[in-house]
Amino acid sequence: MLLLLNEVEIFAGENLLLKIDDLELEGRSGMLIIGQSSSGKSLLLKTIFGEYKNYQGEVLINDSSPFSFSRRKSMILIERVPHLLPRSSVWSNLILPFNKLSRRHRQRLTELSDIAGVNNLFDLPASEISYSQMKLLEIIRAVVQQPFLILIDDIDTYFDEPTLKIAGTILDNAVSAGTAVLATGKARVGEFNKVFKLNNGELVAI
Amino acid sequence: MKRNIILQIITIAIVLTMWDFSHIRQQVLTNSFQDKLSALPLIVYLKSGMHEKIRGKLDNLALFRSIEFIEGNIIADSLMAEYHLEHSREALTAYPLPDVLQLYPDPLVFNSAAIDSVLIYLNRQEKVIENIQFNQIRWNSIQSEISNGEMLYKIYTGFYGFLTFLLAMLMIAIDRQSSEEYWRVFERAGGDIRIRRRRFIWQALILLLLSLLLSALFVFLYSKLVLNLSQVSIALLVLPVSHYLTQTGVLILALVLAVLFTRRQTR
Repeated sequence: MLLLLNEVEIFAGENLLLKIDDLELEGRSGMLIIGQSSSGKSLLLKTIFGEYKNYQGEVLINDSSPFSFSRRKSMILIERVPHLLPRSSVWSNLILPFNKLSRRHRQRLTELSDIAGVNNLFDLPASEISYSQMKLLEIIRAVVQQPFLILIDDIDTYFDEPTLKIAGTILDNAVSAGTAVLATGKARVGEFNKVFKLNNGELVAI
Repeated sequence: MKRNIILQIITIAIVLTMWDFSHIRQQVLTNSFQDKLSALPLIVYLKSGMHEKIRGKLDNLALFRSIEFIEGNIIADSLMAEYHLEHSREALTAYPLPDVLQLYPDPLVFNSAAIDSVLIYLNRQEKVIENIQFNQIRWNSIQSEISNGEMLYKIYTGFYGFLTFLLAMLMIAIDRQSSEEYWRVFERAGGDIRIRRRRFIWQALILLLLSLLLSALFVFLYSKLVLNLSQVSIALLVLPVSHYLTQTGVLILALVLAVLFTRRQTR
């Protein structure tokens, strides 16, 4: 099992915000968690990512704690705020995390940029592209690295319907390469194998 | 980032060079004072033929760079030759001039305590010694100039050490702070954060080695081109290992503190 949450209680301060009895996610699969604002979606992703520690219970990524360095390296979290260097070019931002950019990486980045329609923006500074293009770039950059798990917060707020389909195609590429995708949103979007809803602080399958 | 590291290296190298020159200045002054001190002899006038025992004892003290013995009759001969006093030869035979020991001190060991002990010893040898001549006022004045020079050197060393430390620490800390956004995005993008540590260690090593080498090069070029010193003179200015170790220590301390001050909470 790639991701396992067992009897997890996530707190905001001293208040119980979210209770998850059992949540499992295998590799090569996608999961969407739907919930309203302040329902704890972001905290759930940060907990899995090893960045939020105010919880009780068992969170395991490939049978290890999310706090271990190797686990952290094997996950990428895409948040609402774009993580790009605004003055650097789009291409520089795409290749930023690659210590050594192989030919295969270069090829994959170009292919996925073609799909996203951002291949003509490579020389532009990142500050000059739209928000949805920024998020597409972040997704492409994450997918090419082939982590075990990509976590995407509020996926439905980044894109309109056509762009969401493009993002879905890119994420399908990630899933077929072995990566699992866990996204959150306010509404049901895209093609995910499993969809859950946060209802009164509990996770319900729909 | 590369521009920043070059700027850091040049700035720190300039301060290290000034520090080097304060050390060289002190070394030159000390050498000059020591030359003055060793040229200030302690002159002992002895009864004729009594110098052996005294000389042996003074040799054993190892306080003098050289001891010259001049017999009284040689002094008399040279005086007669120089001032045409041949007619006074009989008087000089009746009243022979004393033998002379000229003691040229080793300034590294001939301190006030040594002077006192030598003078006490010589004064006790009243049966063989007729007179002692030593310009202690001049000696003390030179010693006091040496002390003042040393005090000034300590102040300069402290000043340049602190300046180097402060500049290095601030520049490194500001550099780390300004690159924080880059590394935050790098980490969020999935980059291996250990690369930051590796790159910092490399940069720190380059900063340390190049700024030290560059300052040594500045000293060499200044000595060669501006002061027009010969290779031999430049070789005399070569700074001691302890000086470079102190500079290295100050830079390492600045590096460590800059890291501690700018360390952020990583997840």
